[in-house]
Amino acid sequence: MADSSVFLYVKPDYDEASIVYLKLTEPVRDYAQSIGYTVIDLEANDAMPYNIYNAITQYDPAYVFLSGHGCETLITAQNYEDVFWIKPGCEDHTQHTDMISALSGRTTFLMSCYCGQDLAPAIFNAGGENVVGWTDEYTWVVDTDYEPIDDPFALSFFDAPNYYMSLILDGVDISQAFKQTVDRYNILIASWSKWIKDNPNGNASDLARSHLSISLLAHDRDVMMAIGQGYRLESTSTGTGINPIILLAGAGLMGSLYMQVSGKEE
Amino acid sequence: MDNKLLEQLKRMSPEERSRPMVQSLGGAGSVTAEDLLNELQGKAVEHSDKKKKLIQAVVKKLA
Repeated sequence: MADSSVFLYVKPDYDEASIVYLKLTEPVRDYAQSIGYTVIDLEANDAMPYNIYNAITQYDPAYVFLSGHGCETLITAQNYEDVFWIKPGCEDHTQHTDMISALSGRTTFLMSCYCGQDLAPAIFNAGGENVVGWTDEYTWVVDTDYEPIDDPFALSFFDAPNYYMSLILDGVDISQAFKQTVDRYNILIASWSKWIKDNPNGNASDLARSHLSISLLAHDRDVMMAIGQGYRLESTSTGTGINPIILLAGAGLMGSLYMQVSGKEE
Repeated sequence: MDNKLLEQLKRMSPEERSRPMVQSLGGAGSVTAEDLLNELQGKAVEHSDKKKKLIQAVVKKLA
């Protein structure tokens, strides 16, 4: 069994999105340290595939936080190197390493684009404890007039994912953590709506970014998914519901079969 | 389409429109207000496949 006192935090930094904005995930690392987790911190050039596999083998973390660019079947590490992958990978990637079994028995957070589609279920089917990811582009609004850590637009987009991971580290049940994260997204969306209402004569740049934040926060909320024992959680179009799924791991089935409580097959 | 957003994009100065407005973890780089405005107004502009995919994903969410 993985060591429930160990948290592996991986944060590459090799392009604008990762160097500048993945800093906004650091509150997760800091929170884990503050509540007593042993944090294995792999950042920048330490966030290489070999180091990640080695840290998992050596420290056996129960919690693995991965961030970086990705696609439906792949998440990358430093310098766009493939780290966890299933076929066919991304179109422009050739260095494939299939190591998802290393995530067996662990809680994995995939802070990336599209990984919720195929990679997250594959990690779960390979024995992952539970996995969270996004099934579409993971987007955020920026205003480069601010330093990233002071950018109110960018900050609002990393708040809910950080909140989810913090809840999981606190031992909150995955379905409750997911629901509370959806609620958190809704609060953030409401705060931008209020800002627009309170600032009808604001400058065009701020108003445009506020309108865009409302749309894209709703997008990020609606493409977030989590999969664990007995559950596949997705927010509804209203962002207020969760669709629990009963896991039916029948003998003779290829892989796992999921069926929504309503009876509709996935 | 989000007409309020379109209205504000049109009000922005050319300099403001050229600044990054949206980022993602898809490896597509930044999307500017100008990119969004062109897409919303149906102007044909050359982009990389990844960037085109990101712009279209953003605009789709405004529909």
